[in-house]
Amino acid sequence: MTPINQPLLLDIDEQTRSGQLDRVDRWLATTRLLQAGYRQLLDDTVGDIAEPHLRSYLGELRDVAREHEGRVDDLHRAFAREPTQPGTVRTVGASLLGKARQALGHVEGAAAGATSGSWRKLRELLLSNLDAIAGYAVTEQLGLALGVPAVVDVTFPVVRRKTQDQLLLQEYLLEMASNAILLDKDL
Amino acid sequence: MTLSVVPAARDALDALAVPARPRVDPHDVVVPDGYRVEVVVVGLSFPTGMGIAPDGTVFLLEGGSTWPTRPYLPARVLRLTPDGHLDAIGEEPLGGPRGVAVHDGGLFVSDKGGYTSRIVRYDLASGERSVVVDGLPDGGWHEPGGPVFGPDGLMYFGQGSVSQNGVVLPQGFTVDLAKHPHAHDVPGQDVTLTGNNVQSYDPTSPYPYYVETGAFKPFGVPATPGEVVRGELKCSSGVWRCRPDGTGLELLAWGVRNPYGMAFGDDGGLYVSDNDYEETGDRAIANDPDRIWRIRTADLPHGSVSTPDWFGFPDICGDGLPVWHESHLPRRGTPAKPLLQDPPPWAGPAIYLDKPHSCMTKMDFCRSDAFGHRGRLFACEWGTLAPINSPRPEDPEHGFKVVAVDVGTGTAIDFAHNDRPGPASALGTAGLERPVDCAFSPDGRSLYLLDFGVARVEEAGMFAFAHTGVLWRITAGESV
Repeated sequence: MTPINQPLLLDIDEQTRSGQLDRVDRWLATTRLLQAGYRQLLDDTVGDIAEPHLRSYLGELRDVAREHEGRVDDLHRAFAREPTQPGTVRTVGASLLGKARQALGHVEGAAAGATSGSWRKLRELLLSNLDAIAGYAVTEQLGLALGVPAVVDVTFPVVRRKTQDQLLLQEYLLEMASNAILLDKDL
Repeated sequence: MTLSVVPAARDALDALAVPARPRVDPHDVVVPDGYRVEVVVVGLSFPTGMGIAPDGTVFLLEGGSTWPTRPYLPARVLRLTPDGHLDAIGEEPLGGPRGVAVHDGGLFVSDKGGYTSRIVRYDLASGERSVVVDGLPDGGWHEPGGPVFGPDGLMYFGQGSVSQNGVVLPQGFTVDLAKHPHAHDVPGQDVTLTGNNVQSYDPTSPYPYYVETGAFKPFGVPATPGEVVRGELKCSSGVWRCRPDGTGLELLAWGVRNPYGMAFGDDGGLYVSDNDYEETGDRAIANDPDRIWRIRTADLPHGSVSTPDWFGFPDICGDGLPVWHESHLPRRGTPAKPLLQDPPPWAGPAIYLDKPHSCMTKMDFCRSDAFGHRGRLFACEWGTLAPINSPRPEDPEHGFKVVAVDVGTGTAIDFAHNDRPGPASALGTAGLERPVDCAFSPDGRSLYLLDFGVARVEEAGMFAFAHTGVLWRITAGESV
């Protein structure tokens, strides 16, 4: 009983892989956009914060966010693809995403009775970072699903750090909420 | 369900498209002289079990959500015919299949998923799928075992424990707490609890909230001293049998932590593999050996088992010593205390003990002189999860091989392994990663060996890579 005389490759032929990697490229573009939107929000927020500790923390988050944005190029390379070139669409997309979040935050914050612009931005940073965490975490799943350890080497520390940052954002959002809503004080 | 299946030239195995496992090479698998190793299928995603029909058709399971539970890939039931045609005959729901047996025109598959495990049957003629057993308590860590069919024509299967170490705890909460916060173990007999609850933090709380959890309770629910928990027919850590249509369900044993591998010997005995406790967390237990039990109640007539045998979970280790014995005190984590008052008689000893964290999985008896080693129980060892589940420097080398066990003497030889201990990906070779199942061909000349693929374990986590599973074949009478 040894008629099977040639190994079979299951779902790992060139054509199948190539099609899946094309889809990964599109997801990485989404990840980059989400992270760039988050970084853009930080860029727009840090200078407006008067509270010195919070300004310092957010400044650090902005530096880290820039670094994480650059890691998307590493993810393309990990998947053996060329990074997409920076372009108008990408830059404008991130800017638009950031502005859209700010607008949404303004409406939602105002509806909640908070006129503090910086506190509302803090709230949008929380949502924006959560979105960006998902971008990298989903990329990690794609790396695992395609058997690419180099992807995990990039994503795992990024997701871990961004998850820590999320805790920081959440704590300050909550800590300053009473000032922003009850006392109408800015940060 | 369309598969992409491409025959590969031998040199293609030296340059596979999957970076986690770029090469597979039979020459890197060490077997005794006189055996030939071949590669049959490459690219399987998280394979968990296989079964072989009398005509030589091999049924392979891709596990879906496995170890760890993400990423999920389709939980497919694959069919490889003797002429080399590979297709999918079904796809199981989220969770996924763990074991498969062919019997009387049906394909019986054990499934994990949600709060329960189950056995489903595919009619091989019509493809119709039906559930024959359901409601086995799960939603936690361990697996449905089997199914296998005994010489009596009955179906035998198991279900591992919900908790890792006897109490639902936050370690690795993505498996249980995040998805199944109400999951808990269920005893197979009435038990009285000591009330030794385990204190831990709740990772699902906005604050690191301190909680107490008791045995046979959901996370965060304490037990009280002297509390009686009623045993149930459908318990966790159980081994059962029933007719192939699911009727006549009978509990043979419980207290088997993870009865993943099951096989009948020529002596008619039912043998079950089992995995050791973890040396980590808030109820940590050290140096518990992996083991194979003989389920003696399976020798009794169907329907006559009034009291199931108890094999020790959650209070006794594989060597028969209590988990709080000084030889099982952990180097890290909180030592265990007794959970059961007046526990049932222990049904050990095991017929075979192996090193802690070898992670013994599925197995098959050799019934053929053509293969050699007739009567030996060939058992897969998936391999350790150290350093996650053990801080001991020797443990990362345990497992990653197939052993041939003499169930009479309780000894074993390494049959298929790498040239050094460990998975190929860690050794830089193209041999075995994590053997999960082995089964003999109907003619008795070949042993099919299912290799789960690459699961990388680090202090910070565990990462399993899809498309790295391999079906190997080891054939007697032909040297490499």
